[in-house]
Amino acid sequence: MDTKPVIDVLNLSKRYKNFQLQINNLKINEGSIVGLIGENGSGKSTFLNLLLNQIKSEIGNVKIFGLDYVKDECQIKLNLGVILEQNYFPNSFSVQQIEKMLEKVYPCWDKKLYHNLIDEFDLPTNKPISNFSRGMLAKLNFAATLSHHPRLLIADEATSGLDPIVRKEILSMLKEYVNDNQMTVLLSSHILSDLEQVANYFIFSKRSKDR
Amino acid sequence: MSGLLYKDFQLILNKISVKSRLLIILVLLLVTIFGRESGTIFLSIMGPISLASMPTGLLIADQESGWNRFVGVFPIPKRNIVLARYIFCISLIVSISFITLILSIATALIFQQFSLQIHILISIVGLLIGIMYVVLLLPAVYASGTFGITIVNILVLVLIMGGVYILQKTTWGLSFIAWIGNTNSFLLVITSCILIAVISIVSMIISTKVYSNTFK
Repeated sequence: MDTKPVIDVLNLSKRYKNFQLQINNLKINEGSIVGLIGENGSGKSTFLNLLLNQIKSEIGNVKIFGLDYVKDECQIKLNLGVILEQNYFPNSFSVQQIEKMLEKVYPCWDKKLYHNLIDEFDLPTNKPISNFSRGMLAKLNFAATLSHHPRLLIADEATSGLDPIVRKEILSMLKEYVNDNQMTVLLSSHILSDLEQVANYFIFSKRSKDR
Repeated sequence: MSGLLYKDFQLILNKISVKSRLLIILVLLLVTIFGRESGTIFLSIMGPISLASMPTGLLIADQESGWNRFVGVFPIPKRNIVLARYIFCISLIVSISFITLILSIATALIFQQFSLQIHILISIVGLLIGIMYVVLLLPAVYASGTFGITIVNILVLVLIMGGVYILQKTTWGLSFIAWIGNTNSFLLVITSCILIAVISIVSMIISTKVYSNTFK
């Protein structure tokens, strides 16, 4: 079956003072759940930031959905979902206020799905999220990200620091969602058991010693 | 962009409790009642200037919390992210100027101490000073955070002190004051608006460039 690559990376390189990330050739096809695993400092977050255009590479090319960030940044990001380790929504906002903000950002915001996920995760809708536990924030981030139906979900250490029960709950929900919707997932984690639960492919990021 | 505007306005509302809002309204009313026309003229100048620093505080909080980078994953062009900030800041200043103008006109009609034209002119001056302050602050904050605010405040203070000295002590300054007094007020306001619009556009271009460079 000929599936189009959702992520297409060619000769990507990013250099910092004591660190260089190098990816020669990587393609991730539509519908895959890919686990990105590697030790701390091996470049997982740098790679994801390059995919998200949060940082620029020195050389190389990244295409998402066959599109280039230079010409089609907004088009790419309309179909991109991002979940990060830390919560960045304003702490004084409630679940409802976050919804009101995001439904203005994403034209294809699914109100019903958001409410269903919030109910499923049993999150209070009117309290400020400053009162939320880490697990509740992680669930909120998943609900907020999935509710605009992204074609590609990138999660960077999204389940780190969570207890095993919450991690299992979130990952089960994610797997169920991916099976029902044609979505590609790139999940970065240093917890191999989490990735084994959901991923069907793996990328290993290896840290080389300086010579 | 409307999502970002909603976020900023809602954040301000969340931060200012109902008690604080009532207190602000009470202060405005007390200054109007006891200060009368002088009080509302004072509010017309100080209101926009005081409010100009509030949104920049928000911008610094966003920078420190990482929101300014996180918002880069939204399907919103960088220039619109910056534009939303400018619209938010300027609309806050316009709103307070409008409220103080209403109070000013009310006191002018009741007490008739100064002409209505003076009240309107001073409200416009307050509005323009507030906008000017914001368009100077925002690029500095994008570039240098809290330090940028300090730099701009020092710069503004130096400019004001320098300006006052030049106007009072130099021949050119005295001629300028005489010319201002003889010029049509409406023309002065229009010229000031055009000048501030140009400065705002330049400020926005600089802010967009600085903000985009954070994604290197």
